[in-house]
Amino acid sequence: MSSCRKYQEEIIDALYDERDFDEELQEHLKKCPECSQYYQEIKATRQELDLMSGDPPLDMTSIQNAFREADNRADERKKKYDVFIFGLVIILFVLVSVLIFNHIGSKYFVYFQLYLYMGFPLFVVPFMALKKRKEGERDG
Amino acid sequence: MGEEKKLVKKARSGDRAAMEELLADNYRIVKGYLIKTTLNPSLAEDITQETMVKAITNIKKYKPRGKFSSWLITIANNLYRDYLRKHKRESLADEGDLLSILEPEGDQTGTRVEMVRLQEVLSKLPYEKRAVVVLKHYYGYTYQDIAKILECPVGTVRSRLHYSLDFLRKHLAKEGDE
Repeated sequence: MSSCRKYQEEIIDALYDERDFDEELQEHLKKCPECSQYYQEIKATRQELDLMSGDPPLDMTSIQNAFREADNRADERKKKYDVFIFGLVIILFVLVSVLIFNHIGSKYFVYFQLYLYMGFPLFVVPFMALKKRKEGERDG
Repeated sequence: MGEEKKLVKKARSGDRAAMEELLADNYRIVKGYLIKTTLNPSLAEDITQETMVKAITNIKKYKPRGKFSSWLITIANNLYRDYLRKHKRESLADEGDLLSILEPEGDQTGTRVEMVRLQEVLSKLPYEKRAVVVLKHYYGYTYQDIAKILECPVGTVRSRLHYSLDFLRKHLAKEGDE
């Protein structure tokens, strides 16, 4: 890399606060007309870039829409998860029923069914209440 | 920065108002960055919206290491990369579209003409280089921050900035002479 190229890169770094305009660079700018002109041109380029320095105004509706969209996606994900869990429970139930029926006998299968249907609400009702409370807390 | 950290902590624990405040504080930076980088206001609007949705969805995964805006810009940048992968080429806005959004200081015809010229020259730069110029010149991020946002080495950021400013210097001077 030629020494002028090195100094020209340092000019850009210095103009963007990534290094100091140290004595060596300042001395070189005084002595080298090419780099001195480069410095002026880069300063002019920066001024031209400043023309586009504005930012668009804040749009709160856009932020509210983002929250709505995020909620919709979370609900979608939850629905898919619930369907997955439901499917898993059904498969487990069928498998356990088949195992009991085949290995232990039809009498125990009936006991199992009775136990399951009578005990089912005892597990499910508190579980649903807990779930509802959690959802209530989430929605504020 | 301290205030932002408090808001991030609250937002991560599920405080919706804190998240809303964080997004409102950084909305203009993210959308401004996207408009200047994509040079397409309607695309910038869509990506800004998607960035906000992703930020809300993933706030619990966010590990505060730098400015919150850096994280949002990283998301926005990845979304724009995905867009480019799908569409193969950039679609730039018509002249004047940016003028109405970025509110140039004063509305003299001269300023508007110069801004259109600047938009034209910027559009000739590849997106990765334009992104470095925008992050450095308009938002004052350090080379390290930009390297993290764009997921590239610091040396690459530095050389992209040098190349881009040199390119803009030559082309703005040339087009100014015509």
